[in-house]
Amino acid sequence: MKKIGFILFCSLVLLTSCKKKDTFWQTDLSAPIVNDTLDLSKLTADSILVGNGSGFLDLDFTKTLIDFGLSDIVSIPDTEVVQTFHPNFTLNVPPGFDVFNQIEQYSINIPNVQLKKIRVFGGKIKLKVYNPIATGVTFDVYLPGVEKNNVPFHETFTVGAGDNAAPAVVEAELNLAGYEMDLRGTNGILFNTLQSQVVAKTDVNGPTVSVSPSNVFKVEANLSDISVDYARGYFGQQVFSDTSSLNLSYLNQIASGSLDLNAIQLNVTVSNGLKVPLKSKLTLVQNANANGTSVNLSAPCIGQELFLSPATGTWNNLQSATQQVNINSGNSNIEQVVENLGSDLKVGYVVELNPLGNVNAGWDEVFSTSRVKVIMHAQMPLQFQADQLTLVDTFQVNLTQNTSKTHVVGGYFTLDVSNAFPMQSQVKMSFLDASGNMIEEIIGDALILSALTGSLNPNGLLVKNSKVNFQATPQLMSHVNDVKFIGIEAILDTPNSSGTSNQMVSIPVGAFMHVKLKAHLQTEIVY
Amino acid sequence: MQSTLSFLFVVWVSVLQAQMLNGIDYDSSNAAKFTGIVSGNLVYGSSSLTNSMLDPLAFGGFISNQVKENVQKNHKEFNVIGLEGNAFASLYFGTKTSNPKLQRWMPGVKYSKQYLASLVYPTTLYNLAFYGNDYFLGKYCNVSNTKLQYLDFQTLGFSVMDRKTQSTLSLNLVGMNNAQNAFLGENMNFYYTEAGDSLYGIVQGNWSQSKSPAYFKGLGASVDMNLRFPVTLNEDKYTTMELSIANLGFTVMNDYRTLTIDTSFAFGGYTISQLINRDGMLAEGYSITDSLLVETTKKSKWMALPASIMLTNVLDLHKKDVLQPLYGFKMMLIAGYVPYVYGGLAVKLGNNVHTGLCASYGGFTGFKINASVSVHAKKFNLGIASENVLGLMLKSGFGKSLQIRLRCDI
Repeated sequence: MKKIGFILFCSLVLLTSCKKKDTFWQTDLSAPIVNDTLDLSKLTADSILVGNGSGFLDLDFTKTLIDFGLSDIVSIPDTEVVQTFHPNFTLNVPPGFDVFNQIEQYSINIPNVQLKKIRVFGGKIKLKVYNPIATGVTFDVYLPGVEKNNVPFHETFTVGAGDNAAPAVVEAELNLAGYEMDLRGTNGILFNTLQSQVVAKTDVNGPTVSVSPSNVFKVEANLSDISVDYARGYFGQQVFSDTSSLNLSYLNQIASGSLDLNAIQLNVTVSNGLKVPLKSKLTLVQNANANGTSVNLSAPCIGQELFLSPATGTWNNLQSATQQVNINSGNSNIEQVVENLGSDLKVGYVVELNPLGNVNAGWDEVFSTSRVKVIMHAQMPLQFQADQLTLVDTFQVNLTQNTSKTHVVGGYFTLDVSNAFPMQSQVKMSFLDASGNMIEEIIGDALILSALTGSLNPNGLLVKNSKVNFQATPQLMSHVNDVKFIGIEAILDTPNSSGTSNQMVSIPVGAFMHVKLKAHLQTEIVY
Repeated sequence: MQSTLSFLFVVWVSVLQAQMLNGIDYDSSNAAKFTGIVSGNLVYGSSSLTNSMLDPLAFGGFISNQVKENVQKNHKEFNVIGLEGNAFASLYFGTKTSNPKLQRWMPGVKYSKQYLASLVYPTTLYNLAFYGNDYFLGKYCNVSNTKLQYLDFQTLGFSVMDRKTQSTLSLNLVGMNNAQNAFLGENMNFYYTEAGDSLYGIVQGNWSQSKSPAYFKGLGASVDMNLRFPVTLNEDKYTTMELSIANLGFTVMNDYRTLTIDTSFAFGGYTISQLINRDGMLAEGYSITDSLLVETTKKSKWMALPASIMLTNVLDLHKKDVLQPLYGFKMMLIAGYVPYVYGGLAVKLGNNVHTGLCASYGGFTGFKINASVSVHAKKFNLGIASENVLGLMLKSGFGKSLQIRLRCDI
């Protein structure tokens, strides 16, 4: 019996120590990965590419560099008006007696601007009245020169009895939108001046009370968040300057090679919608590329002062004054600026109001519709010659596979391309580790050929089909866990139809590149 | 760990009995106080896969392209892979009674651990698994009507043996450890364009499995029966036949979940925007099962066990004839199982040793050669057999089979 038990025990140990080896075989798996049609609308906004009469594309690009209006010129600060009154001697006040009736002026602090009239678009006034005597008082608050639809501003407050230690208080908040304000003061020759009038009368049904110099009547008026849609006066010699940056990030992917461009037209238009004279100046047009090379525009218009007369008309029929400068290959180095292929385009400008001072005798006007704009408009045929123009882009990836489980051991990727662009490309893929060191480089076994070597499709476009294979070598797959970045490099040329040299090509309307990427992977099934 | 030990129990105890060993006729005047029978049976086979592929699939190893090609040639429209593994332990006790009628019966207990699996599949599924979908460029890949069934269960029964006829009856409790059923519907088709740029599919099928965390995922009852009866051949000749019915019963599964899919799809690749921005199917949280309209239903389910019925002749150990016939029939209600028949001769090599050699057809494979050796001692009987002798030795065999049965009468 002991022997049997020993044999059973040994058998159990033997069997439990067995571990199944991996079963594995290789199989070929394939799958479509990418199916897409690329056209220029996916690279940039559609509206900048327009067809011309020849069936080719023009680049038609407009960017507003500056755009300012009334709110940028006039800013009304929050203002507090406090009007107080106390008698000079003690007197007994009967019911219905006018305690005081007084007008005061207050200056609104608006640096460099002398406003005579404004219309409030938005904002509010908060009124607070204090009654320090032992009978009710009615306060009539007026803002002389402030009216809406020809009705002057007037608010009445009835305040109960109070005393010096605890005056009775009433407050209210009112919307000022739509009010016009005459800021010329009581004599009509001042500016930035607000008037207030307060009439205080004791309750007609109240008792006779004694009012002494220690009794202070007070009215507080707080104007806040005031915005205007019309202003008249003198707006000073305000200067607006800036340097706008236009970032064309996809140009950063150009690593080397050259691009030859033709017939570039760049127009800069300044329009003045203010009834204010102004002066503008284009100070800088600069292109900087990823290599740190900057090219500045050299043209007569750089630094040239342009004077613009005031706009004419009123708010609903305002006619802006405009000035335009034209920059082209004939009067500037604009081609060199663009062919620098920098992603960073800087444009600097200065605009100054009233360059000659207050020549309108304080009769400048700005409406809600008044704008000052500096607009850049570029136009050129999408025509270029590429010579080994190399585009590089790098993607971060996280590829992992466990070789003790089902994994890919090799294979290849097939890129089927239908190309309607008149350029050819060689494509390389670089597989990089976390430090950017090359693990493997795969070069496509064929070129993506130019459409110029193809045949016409039903839409009348030349289209060339190409097939490019990229081998995923066992060497690469064995190190695939180390791959942290994949770099894709496309070397572009614009060969003539015989392929002997590069030539200037135009991009036809409707040009596209249809790509299908398929994977064929030799996979080791492991279980 | 429990399942591993259970499997090892099957392999160890079982490595066990073939149908051929069933029909060993023990002394009908058995007066033992205790009878123990331990038997086991491990059979796996295929209608199309040879051992050159089955062995690495079962035990590990590399499957070369040459093996894949050779096996591919064996495939027919539909093919079967099956596994039958079981281990039985029965203990019977003599009763202390003076009543001769009661003395005839030996009550006992019977325990079994059983694994049953079968896969019925079309050749396309083999090609898809071993050659990949690249094989189907420009072709339809139709894997309709593929069936998979897998059961792992235990039984514990109260038995009784008739000393006179050696017939037994056992009423069992059944504990289901694992149950899986999958069926790919009537129209499960994929088409991969010749250019390899688009994949279309009609997906129809269901997969049911027991998901309960309990050790027993279902409970039920079954009946096992071995009935021996004489059959008169002529006036002075008779033979004993044995009718065996096993696993006639059911289980009630708790938390039995069925995933059902009936949809179609087309895939031609991602757009570059989707790849860069991780949109669509690449978006975080995107559920492929939701998009394929996979429905999950959860319910308790009555499930019939794969009952089997077997009819064999019983070898008479006391006969002086050197040669005796061996023949039998078996059917099991599991997908892909073909009615199994065998026939051959038993040779008496001495008073205590018999050997048998048969030809058989059916089960999970086709034609096979069966062999057995049975050694008898006064209180012990040990039998070893195989339903597929060539399979044990040849890479070109279609599976393997080994059975052991040990009986002890004290």
